[in-house]
Amino acid sequence: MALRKAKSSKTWASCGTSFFTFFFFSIFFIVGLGILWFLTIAPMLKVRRAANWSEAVCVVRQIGVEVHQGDGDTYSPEVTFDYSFNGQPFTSHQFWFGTGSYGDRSAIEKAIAPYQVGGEYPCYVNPNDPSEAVLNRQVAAHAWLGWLFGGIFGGVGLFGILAGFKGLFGSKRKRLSQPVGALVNPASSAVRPSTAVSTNADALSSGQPHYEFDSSVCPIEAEGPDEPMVLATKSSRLGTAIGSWFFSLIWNGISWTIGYFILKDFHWFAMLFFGIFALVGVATILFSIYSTLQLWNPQTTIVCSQRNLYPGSEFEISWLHPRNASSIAELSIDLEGEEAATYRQGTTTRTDKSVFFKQSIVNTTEPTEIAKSYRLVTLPADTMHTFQSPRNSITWQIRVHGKIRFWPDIYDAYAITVYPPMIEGDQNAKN
Amino acid sequence: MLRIELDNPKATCYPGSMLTGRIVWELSQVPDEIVACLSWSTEGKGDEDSATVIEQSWTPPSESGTQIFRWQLPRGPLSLDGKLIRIRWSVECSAEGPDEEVSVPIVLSHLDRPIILSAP
Repeated sequence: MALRKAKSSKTWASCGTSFFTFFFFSIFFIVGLGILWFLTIAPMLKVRRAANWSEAVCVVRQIGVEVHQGDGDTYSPEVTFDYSFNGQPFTSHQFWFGTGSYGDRSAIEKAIAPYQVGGEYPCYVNPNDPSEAVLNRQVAAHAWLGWLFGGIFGGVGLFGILAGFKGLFGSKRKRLSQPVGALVNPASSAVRPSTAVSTNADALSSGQPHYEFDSSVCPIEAEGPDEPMVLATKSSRLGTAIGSWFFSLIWNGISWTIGYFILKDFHWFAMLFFGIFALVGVATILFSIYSTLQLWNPQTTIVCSQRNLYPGSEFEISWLHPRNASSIAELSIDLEGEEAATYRQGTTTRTDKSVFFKQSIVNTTEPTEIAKSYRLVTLPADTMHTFQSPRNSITWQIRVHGKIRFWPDIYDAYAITVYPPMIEGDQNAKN
Repeated sequence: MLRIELDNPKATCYPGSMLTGRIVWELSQVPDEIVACLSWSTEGKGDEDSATVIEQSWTPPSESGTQIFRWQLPRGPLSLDGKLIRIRWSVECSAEGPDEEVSVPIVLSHLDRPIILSAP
């Protein structure tokens, strides 16, 4: 049946994108855990286990720095030492606990400096497997790289997994169907379905209409009296600051780690390429500092005189700055309606936005008015209500801009919900 | 032949009102099932979103017949003509077996037209 197929294919497409995100970032996460395990955790566990190993005397037969050639050479200790345990002779090549090689030759040279060929030194032997012994009972000098790379890959992976998980399971919660009774305004009793209404599957086979309404797409008024409400900001300042530092840490962590190897083998083109990433990294740090300073800005409390707003509604917006209102030199508050459309272009997803309505509520430099005041606002009668589908949305918000001298300005947005027009009486189709 | 006949010839409907009409079919064979539904979909810059709000299906007894429908329209989303987004409503009907489909657009609005959004 074509109609049902079209609907379900859309659901699968949405799930597919979320599943791809989940799968793609799972790889990052697994790689991150792998790096962390092999470079850091496993060597550290071995160090802990080796605390109970038996000490023996060994003779170093050969010691030096092994060079691993590649785009940038890396180094590791190369050692051979002989020891005996319970009268049995053994040979080991394990200098310390850790795998892989390291780009810092001097760190390896410093680690092996106390040992000379032909010298006798204490080594540590696994009593359960005497063929296993280590000369230096510590983790490799580059074990910290496990925290860095593992943390970056794992952190990015975990972030993506959570985003994918939200897409796979989070949206279903939002898209629960509402009974048709919710379609009509609770305030209006004039319109009621005259046909038997059913929301269960049996309705389909019985020839009765089956109603399905998604309140997350088109808002429905909550039960209860229409009373004033304090508006919430669309994004918290603390969240923005933490988010920007988190992004900055990941960006700069990856960029500068790669940059470290590029700087070692100086090359103009690579330097130029790295320079772009480094500049973006600096910009993210500056933005993080900016958003952190905004945490100390005065907090604006916005109160809307009614909870249920419709096209044509007249309502009151009042504002209050409980603290540090005097630091605001100029305050402007606007009512704004915005369209947003999300689309895929190649492999990237873009969102275009367009403001379709903007009305100044206040623009003042008067200190008493900045601290606390109110204005009457009227929504146009012929405008659109709030609408939120997965890729298209109509949103309404109150935007607050407070200019502060020698300090980052206040930029806050407070979401308001505009409901579809109320049903006034039993009006059938026009004409 | 599969046809949707709306009682309101202008097909501009007030949110929450009743949409009434009939589905008429004269097909070459008895269809397994006929499904009529009311759906909205988006057009414009963004990728398409759509939803079926009302669905009514029945198993017709013969090749031809008529089924009356009487649906209470939702309050939204209203039909829209925006810069980036357009929202369109339609009554759709499909017959399974002979595989026929038909669609009739309607406007859901408290005005006499879709909501028009323009830059401020």
